[in-house]
Amino acid sequence: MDLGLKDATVIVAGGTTGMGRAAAECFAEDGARVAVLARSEAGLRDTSDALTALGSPDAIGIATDLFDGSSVVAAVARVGERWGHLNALVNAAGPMRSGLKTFETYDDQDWHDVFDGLTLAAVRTIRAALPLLRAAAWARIVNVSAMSTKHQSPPLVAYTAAKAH
Amino acid sequence: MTKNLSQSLAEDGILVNTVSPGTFASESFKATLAPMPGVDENDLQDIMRFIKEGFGHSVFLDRAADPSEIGPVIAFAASARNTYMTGADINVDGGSDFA
Repeated sequence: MDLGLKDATVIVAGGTTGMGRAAAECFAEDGARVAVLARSEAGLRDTSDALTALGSPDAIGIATDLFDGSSVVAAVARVGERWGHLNALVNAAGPMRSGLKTFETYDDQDWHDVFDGLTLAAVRTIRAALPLLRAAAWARIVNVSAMSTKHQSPPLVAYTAAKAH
Repeated sequence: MTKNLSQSLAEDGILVNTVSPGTFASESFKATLAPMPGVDENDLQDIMRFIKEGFGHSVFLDRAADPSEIGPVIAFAASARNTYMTGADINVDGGSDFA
């Protein structure tokens, strides 16, 4: 499918695995420049190589800790220095420090951790990227939520609260 | 957040949308399922059966998704071809009666 992305600039936060990786591959196949943000250096290398092979004219992996606002700002700044603008930001990451528990077994720190990874990670990337998105001729943001936010299960109480983007 | 930003960023021409996947076979989820007896983490129908029995979720297509089935939806929403959809929550869940 021609998505009109030839030479467009895209960030995929959480783009080394799963649907983030699948989306990044779609962007690459369409000729977009793609920056993938994730923690694993090995995953970033593997992904950027794959995106280049698929047709991305400039695929880069930037090691980023989405729990750390300064790390996110630095990652987006690298994109700004390289491309000057950003057409699309995809928030596909969902880092979790706490495992799934029931409501009564989550303590305050668990709740903070879940929101830090699932909500604030997206807030950080959007906030950092807005100047670059505004500098582009067209711009899109896609936040990945979860269907489970609409069909509850007891162990997903914090996950779904934080994923209701 | 998406709905709010879609409104406030409209004047900048920034379209903001959410994609809501249902159960999909990510590598991490498959790794979680692998040691569990009675479920084949590489069988999308079997994963959905596990979800149905454990969480009470079922979907019309009666199987989990592969991540490659979610990626193109994200890509379209993030692309120049999307020119009039903003503030939307796109369900990619295999079909359900959920809102």
